[in-house]
Amino acid sequence: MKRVLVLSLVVALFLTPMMALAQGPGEGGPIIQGNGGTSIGPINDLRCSGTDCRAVTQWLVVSSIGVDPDTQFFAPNVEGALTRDWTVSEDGLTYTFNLVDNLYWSDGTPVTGWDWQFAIYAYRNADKFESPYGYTVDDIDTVEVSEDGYTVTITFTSPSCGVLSDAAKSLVPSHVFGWTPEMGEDFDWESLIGHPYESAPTVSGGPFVFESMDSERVVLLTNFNYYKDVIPEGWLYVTVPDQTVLAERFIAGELNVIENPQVGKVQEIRANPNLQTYDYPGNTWDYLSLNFANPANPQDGFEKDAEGNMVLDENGLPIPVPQDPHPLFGDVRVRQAIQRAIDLDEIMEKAVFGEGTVMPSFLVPSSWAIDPELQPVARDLDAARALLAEAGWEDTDGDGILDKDGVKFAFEVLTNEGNTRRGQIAELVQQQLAEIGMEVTVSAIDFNQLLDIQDAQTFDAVILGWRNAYPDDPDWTGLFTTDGDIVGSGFNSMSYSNPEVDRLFKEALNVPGCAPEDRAPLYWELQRILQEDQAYIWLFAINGMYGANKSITNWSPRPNAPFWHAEDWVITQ
Amino acid sequence: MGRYILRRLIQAIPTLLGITILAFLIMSAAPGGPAAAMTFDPKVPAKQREAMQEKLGFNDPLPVQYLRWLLGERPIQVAGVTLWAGREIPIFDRLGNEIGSEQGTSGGIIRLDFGRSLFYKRPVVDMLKERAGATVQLGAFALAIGFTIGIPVGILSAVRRGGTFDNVSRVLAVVFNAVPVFWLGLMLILVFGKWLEVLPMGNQCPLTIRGCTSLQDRVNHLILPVFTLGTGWIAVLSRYMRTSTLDVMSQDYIRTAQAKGLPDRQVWFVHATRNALIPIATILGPAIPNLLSGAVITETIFSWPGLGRLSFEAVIQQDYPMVMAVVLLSGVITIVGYLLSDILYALIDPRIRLVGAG
Repeated sequence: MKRVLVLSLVVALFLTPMMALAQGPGEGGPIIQGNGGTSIGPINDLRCSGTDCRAVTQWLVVSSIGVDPDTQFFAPNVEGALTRDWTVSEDGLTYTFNLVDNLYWSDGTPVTGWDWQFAIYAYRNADKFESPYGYTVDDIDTVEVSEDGYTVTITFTSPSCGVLSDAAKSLVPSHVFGWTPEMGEDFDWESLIGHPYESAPTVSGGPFVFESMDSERVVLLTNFNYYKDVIPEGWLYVTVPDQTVLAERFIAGELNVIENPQVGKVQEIRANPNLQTYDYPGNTWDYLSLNFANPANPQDGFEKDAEGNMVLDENGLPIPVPQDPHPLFGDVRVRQAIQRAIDLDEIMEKAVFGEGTVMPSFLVPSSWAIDPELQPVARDLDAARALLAEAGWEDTDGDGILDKDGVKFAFEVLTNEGNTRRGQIAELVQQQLAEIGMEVTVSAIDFNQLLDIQDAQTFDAVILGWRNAYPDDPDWTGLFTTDGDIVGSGFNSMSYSNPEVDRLFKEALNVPGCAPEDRAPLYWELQRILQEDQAYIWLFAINGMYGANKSITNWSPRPNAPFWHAEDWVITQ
Repeated sequence: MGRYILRRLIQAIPTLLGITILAFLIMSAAPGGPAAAMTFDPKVPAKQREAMQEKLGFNDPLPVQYLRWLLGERPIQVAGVTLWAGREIPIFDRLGNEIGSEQGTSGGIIRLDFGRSLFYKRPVVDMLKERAGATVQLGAFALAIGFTIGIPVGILSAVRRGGTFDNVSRVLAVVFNAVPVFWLGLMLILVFGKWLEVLPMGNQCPLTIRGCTSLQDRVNHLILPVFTLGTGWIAVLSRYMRTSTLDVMSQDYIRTAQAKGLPDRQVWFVHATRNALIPIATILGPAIPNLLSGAVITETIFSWPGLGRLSFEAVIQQDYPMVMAVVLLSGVITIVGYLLSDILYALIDPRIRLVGAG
């Protein structure tokens, strides 16, 4: 009897996981994810205005060009993507994409180049259906599709290395909208507003098909017409607006996946034996921006003609206009001193519990273009003091605060209220700069008010952050180039201008062939210059983390791709 | 009574207009703007951002924007006479160059068209309808709990004045009044959801593909948010009721009832309660709009898809049409709430006659 019991136990121990792994299409449990943002809006990828919308559409659309998640480059032959391979004309203007023919929409209609053409035409008319993404096709001249629908030729207006990003579109089923290739751009684009597809996108090209949506959840079910078997029963996306509650519900097992949980919960999640985690270098980063120009006299950073248009030089670059310098930060030595006075390790430890990676310059640590040799500027208070002394800032009256020509080194750092991480960074910056004799006041204000002030270029210093797109391209034209210094709307609100930087960004974006190995050295040079110039005071990127309950097997996320091959996941309930 | 209600409703119109003007001015004075929020990306050319701003009409003077919200973008014509010209909306090409214009189609508030949410890109009215049910459900149960527990507790505290029950209930009332809703909600989630695993941690239905499959599912999901929202009402109403009952208990007719030998329960819950409830009627009206504002936090903590959370999100996103609709709705609810209070007052106390009642 005892032997029988032992044998049964052994058999059960072996069979249980095997039975779980033997689940067929649609027989696995559901993926249950919390939406930590706002409620979900229309789910038409052409009109998505937020990450929550894209979280849904990622399961329903077909990528025109795939991204290899390991390299984070557009790549041929990525499973599930439409493009098999492509060729580029000698002038770099024309790309010919050969497509796979094994992808079908869930209603049986093949996914073809016409769907791709529809997407590009739609974005060209984005203003007619309230989509802000018209700019993504600005550099596309023509889109032609072969008769069989499986070759797409796209001609661009300039041979920029950003063209693949421009061409890469998430495809929706064009036939659902009543569009036919004969219509071309002569289509009622306004009909996309309020189209039934955006509240019930029942035709899918991804692993799941739409089942239902209400104000608290979106339910997708297995797409049995997908090009390969999809094991999970479906995907449930539930709105959980509070980040603390979101993390607690994941830990408790109500949700079985999580993306980038609240940093305060990361350690607890990592230590939980029922959970599995995946860490990756994040693409969200914070910065301290100092205004290089006098905030009392903001002006555009480039020459303009009588009609107010930017004047370009013979190389097609803007002609910088000398700005009235900021009384404190106009001197590069002061900016360098500030960078050297900041202890990033302490800031990261206190603001994000050590879950960050110091940035030496403007690229996140995961970028393919990051300079492997460039080190972050280390804290060195003596060097900082020496730079300030060289710039003429000394404490002449013994009050502990630097002064020069009767002006005290005092300024205000603005950040957005409600963001505890940035609030902590600001307070630590305040304390650390006090050690070299700077008097810093911190003000946390409404986010929109802060953006207005930043746009108006009337600030001294701002702590804010960026989240990079995926796949991440190192091109930051507009942020660090002179043409972005537009009072009221430009993103170069700090009025940084360096003609060499303008030239290098342009050159890096127009490298013939666009091979990363050819572009990277230009970005290395840019990183060195921007570090030296202190275009920003560089802080850190927040490390990313994905979590999944251990009830999920075959979980194999990649950086920025938490659901990589989710169709193979086996979820035991 | 009918004439009184009608008069009050007519009087409400200028009040509502005033509310909308104030709300519109406050919204307009807020920094940033929806166009900026929708195009917060260094890769969006400035000209395209400006075009979107122009198309949405945010470059026009404030009074014009307000009137457009009120009267719509479609012309208003009566007997062939154009009373309101509406708005020609500029059309831009993809580079932000103006290439023409077309007649706007929105009807404005006057035609019960609240427009389309700038972020959800859906008719505001549809979204309000979807969310109202969840908030009413939450609010109604919270208020019901407040009344069913708060009022008996208040009466018992009064009749057992100075006793253990009175002291305990007073302490609890202070505690429940003082505890922040978000903290109480989080604690309840941790205790009953995470540690004891006896109640769900949020949402209206279980986190399964099928969602709610029984009434029990719905009830389970209601317990924690209703208790969180209702505790404040239990505390407030029990204190009001205690004070009110103490006033009534000292009156002659109560002593007469007691002298006649009526049982205590009959004296307390029948004779005293009716008169003690009169002051409570005055707080029932304001309680309705208060529930909407109180629901913002509760709905956020418990992932409850109601109007409170929708309003909060709309303010954060500067979704003007949604914010204005919610403000107007709150205004209507407030006015109706106060009207309801007045009517209840008259119903409970026959001595009160409403001016204008026929």
